[in-house]
Amino acid sequence: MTPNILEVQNLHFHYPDGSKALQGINMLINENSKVALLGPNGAGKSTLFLHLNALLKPCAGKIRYKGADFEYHKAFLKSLKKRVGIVFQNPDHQIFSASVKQDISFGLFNLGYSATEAGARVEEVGEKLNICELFDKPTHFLSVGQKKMVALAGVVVMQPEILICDEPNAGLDPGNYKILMNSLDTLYREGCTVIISTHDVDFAYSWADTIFILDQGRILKQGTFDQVFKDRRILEQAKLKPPWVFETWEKMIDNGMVSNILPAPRSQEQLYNMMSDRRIMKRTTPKIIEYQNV
Amino acid sequence: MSPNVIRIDHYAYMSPLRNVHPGEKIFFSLSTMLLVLAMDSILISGIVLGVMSLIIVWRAGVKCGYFLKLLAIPLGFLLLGCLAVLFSVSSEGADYDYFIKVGAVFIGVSVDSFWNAVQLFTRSLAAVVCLYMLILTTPINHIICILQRLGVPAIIINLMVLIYNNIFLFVRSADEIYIAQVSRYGYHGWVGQIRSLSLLCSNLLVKSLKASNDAFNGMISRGFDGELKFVDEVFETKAGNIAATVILNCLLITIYLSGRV
Repeated sequence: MTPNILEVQNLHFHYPDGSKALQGINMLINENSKVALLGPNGAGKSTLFLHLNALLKPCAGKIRYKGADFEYHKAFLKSLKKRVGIVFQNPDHQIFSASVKQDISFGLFNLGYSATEAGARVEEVGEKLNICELFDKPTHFLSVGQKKMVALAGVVVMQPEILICDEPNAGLDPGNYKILMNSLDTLYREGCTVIISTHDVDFAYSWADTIFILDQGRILKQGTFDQVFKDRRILEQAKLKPPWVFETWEKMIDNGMVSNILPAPRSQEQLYNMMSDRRIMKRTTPKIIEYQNV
Repeated sequence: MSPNVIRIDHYAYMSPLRNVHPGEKIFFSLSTMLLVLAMDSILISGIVLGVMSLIIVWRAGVKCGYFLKLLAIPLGFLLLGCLAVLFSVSSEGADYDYFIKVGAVFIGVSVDSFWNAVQLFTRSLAAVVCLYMLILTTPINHIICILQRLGVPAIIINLMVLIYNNIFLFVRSADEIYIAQVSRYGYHGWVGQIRSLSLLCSNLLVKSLKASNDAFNGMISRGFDGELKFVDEVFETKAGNIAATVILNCLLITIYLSGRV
């Protein structure tokens, strides 16, 4: 079994005005896994993320990094901020420098890199994320998609072991979304643990190893892609729709169109391949019938 | 981490005294403040300080620790001012009750200057607390309502509202930069603190100007033509509140006058 890189134990948090944001969160996150958090607005996803980067201190409960309890003193925070990077939902909240290069290198200087080392590292990340052409532009000239990539670069440059992305798809067009998610996949293949929150159930279903469903500061359900979406009651409670691929597959089984019970397909491509596979679909002789709209 | 300005506003909106007629609150706070400023008595200042603090902590439900923190802001300025009244420099040692000699001059304190400083201190603090009682219980739009009814020129009210909104944009911009920096290990170590703070300062203006510009565009797009109009709210008047204010103030005057005789 892969060891847990992060462990959240009975985490409680309420804001100074008394509103309860998190009410007993338990999570185990495997090293080098892809994790998705699903849940409606205000479920506590962002608040939970702020705890994982130690920006917020829990009111009760514990967080462990590789078995070591989070501590909130200097030495621990330095090693933690290097290992757990967070990309905020709104890149405007994250990018504060007028220059792209300066913003990306901010974290490196905090970790004590020299200017030459930092410069080389920034170039390297720029090439990896394919954003070198943005380096000479002022940050306020960038589009939302470009800003998002720069915000990601500012975190990736610190070489975190865990990369947290709060709603990476918010405000992105499909093209930019794909570029961003491909970058996250590259990081995952390099050994990074990637945690995202999203409202895109179809994406979470096809991408994540582990999915958590959050609502009102509690985890309603956790599991692998084919486990979490079975419970319709919980999906309704969290105001989520089942992924369309999964729903279609279930309907096909219900209607007796599938001859062998197989693991559910994870993507549109897999579903379509299965539909045209004669070993999977039941053979029926086509009949011409008069179809009536009811 | 949440900035003080925003917490003041938060208390004002959540205050149990929120629905008390703002005119009554303004009358209570300002008339008492004027009395404190007019009467040079430590006792009166002390009473007002006590009464207002009790109202703020008990009736308005402001947390004690937060109230003390708020007081610490003017306290710094006040202490500096009082030091200047307390100590003075003279060539004659006989001017003072206690003094030290530095070279050819004497720096010292006399009994008079001591009481002057104490009086200045309590009086100013009491006046500040009177204003705190108003702003911690009254949202800005209620105050504006009253100013409008009193016939304050629109230009002044508009400026007030725009400045008020821009303070929030400014503070929020600073807060966003601060969080972004801390999440990437900013503000650690002496050099780290200086670097992070310098980046915050140098980028805050650009960022907040942009935020303010965006907000302005939002207003223009909804037909803003340079003059803000406000909804006139209806408040419930209570004669009791006015009476209580008058009684308290009469009491203060009586105490003051009887002390002088």
